[in-house]
Amino acid sequence: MAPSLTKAGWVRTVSRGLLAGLGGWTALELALSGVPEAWAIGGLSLLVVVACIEHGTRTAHAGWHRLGRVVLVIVFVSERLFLFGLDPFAMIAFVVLLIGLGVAQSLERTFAPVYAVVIDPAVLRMVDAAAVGTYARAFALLCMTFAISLLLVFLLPLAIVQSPTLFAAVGLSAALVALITFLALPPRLGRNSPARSTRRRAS
Amino acid sequence: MRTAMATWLASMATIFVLLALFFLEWRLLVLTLPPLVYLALAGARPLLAPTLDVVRKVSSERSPIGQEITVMLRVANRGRRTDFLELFDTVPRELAVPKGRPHLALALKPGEEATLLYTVVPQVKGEFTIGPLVARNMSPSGLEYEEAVDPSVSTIIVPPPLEDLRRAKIQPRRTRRWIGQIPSRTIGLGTEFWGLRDYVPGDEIRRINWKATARIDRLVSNEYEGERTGDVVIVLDAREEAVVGPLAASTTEHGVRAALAIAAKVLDARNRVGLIVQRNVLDWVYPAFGRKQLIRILDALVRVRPGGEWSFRHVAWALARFFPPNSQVILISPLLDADSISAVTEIAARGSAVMIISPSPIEIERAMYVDEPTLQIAYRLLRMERENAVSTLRRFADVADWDPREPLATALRSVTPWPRH
Repeated sequence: MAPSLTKAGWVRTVSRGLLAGLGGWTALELALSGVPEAWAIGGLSLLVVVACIEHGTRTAHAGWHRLGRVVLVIVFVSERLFLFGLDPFAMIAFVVLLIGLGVAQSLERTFAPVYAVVIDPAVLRMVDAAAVGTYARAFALLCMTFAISLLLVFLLPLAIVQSPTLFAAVGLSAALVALITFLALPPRLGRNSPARSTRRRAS
Repeated sequence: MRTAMATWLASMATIFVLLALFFLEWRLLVLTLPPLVYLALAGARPLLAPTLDVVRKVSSERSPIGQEITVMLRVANRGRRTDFLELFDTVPRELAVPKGRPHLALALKPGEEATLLYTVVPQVKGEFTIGPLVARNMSPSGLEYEEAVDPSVSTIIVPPPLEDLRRAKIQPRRTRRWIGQIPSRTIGLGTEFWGLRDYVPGDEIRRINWKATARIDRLVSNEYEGERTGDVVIVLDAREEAVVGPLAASTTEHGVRAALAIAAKVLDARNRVGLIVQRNVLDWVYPAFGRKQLIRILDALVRVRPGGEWSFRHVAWALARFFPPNSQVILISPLLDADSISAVTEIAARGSAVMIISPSPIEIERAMYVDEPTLQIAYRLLRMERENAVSTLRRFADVADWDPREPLATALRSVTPWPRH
């Protein structure tokens, strides 16, 4: 029995579709701006994005995927900042889709090689269950992220920092960076956490 | 544990904060919200490390280079349901994986079992361990995982191939007191005729030379040349600076093959054989006889990995201090540095008979590149340099300049047979 290359193809299609969507969105806005310099610089940068991500997909190297996403976000933020204006709804949607692209690329790097070699129907069923479940949960998580982020934009009085003093701006930035660091750290560092007590129990 | 993607998201959010501060534009802060919310949501549901029962089976624990070994890994979930479990079996890079993959991502219900099947092919000799198995319970967010490591490993021993040296003549110059197969230039037990003497009571009847007895009319016995054993110490140069060529066809790998073949040949002729390997440490096997000694030597050679930068003169010191004097020393070295050459002179100066088998680094390198005119000139220059070094060494030792693409026996046949003392 041959390995399921169609499923490996589907896994790749998800991330390529997201990349096409994000790249197309940025390209469209660049085209609509009507500034030749923006077309040239933005177009070139988008080509770099596609090249990086394609290379990352071929070599299954996360670094190239990450570099491609960084260049993409730089192009999008720049054109929003200097050409199109900062629309919170569109920006949140773009960043959520960008996170989705990161997740899809990570899952692609995991599942595509597995689908390329698994032939045992019993194991294939378990791989399918993991892939479908993970994609569904990731999609749900992204939808929740989008909804909560929108809600926060409307609830939080971000406008108060529209013309802040330097002291207030630095203070707010420091607080936000501290919050980011806290959230980025592993959630359980306590000694008696359930994760630590069960670690290395496999025998 | 957080993944690299969590770091990427946090960095992105921080850069957005700094951009907002730089441009004093509050709407840029909006960009930090999705990463923050995603990070918070991803950390909301704690993950548990997987609890698994793992059984690994390999089709063969001893295999020659190039033969396929099937690895079967049976994993049973003894803990909670895992929706996204990644399994990584650790395979050393010297083992190619032509079929299957030592990696699997799957969902496992409690009590459910999965089998991971893949094939490995050893590329070089050595002792390799497959495992441990790393099992990761991955979060669907891609930001977090919990890991369990199954410490059990399977060991595969890949012996070096044995060269055919049946037609080559290798024997120690000096003999010891034990009966062996080397003519010793003294009267004793043996098969080669040495001379005649008067019969003395106690001589075996079959030793009486009846023709001579009839001629001189008194009993005369035959005397034979005694056949004794000798000691051979094989010295293998496995230092970092003695390595040339790709992993599977390096000077060290060829040296290991030569050392094993010579040890087998010399032990087969009932001699004592010892071994010294200079790498990160100085490994040695004290000289002894027999099949068990061959297994000891094979065991030491299987573990040889090039390394270490200390002087080759330590070998001369170890030989003088710990090995029987006047042993035949067979040095296997590509002779790439002046240090190895001076070590030869030092060993020879201490009275040991030295033979050098030198896997040619020039021929190994030449086989790696396309034949071009400039490379031809470089090859000829290097060849001349090497021939100079070899002719210098021939003043102290017998040297076999071995092109590893040819059988070792061919190189050994080109060496002048050792004169007997």
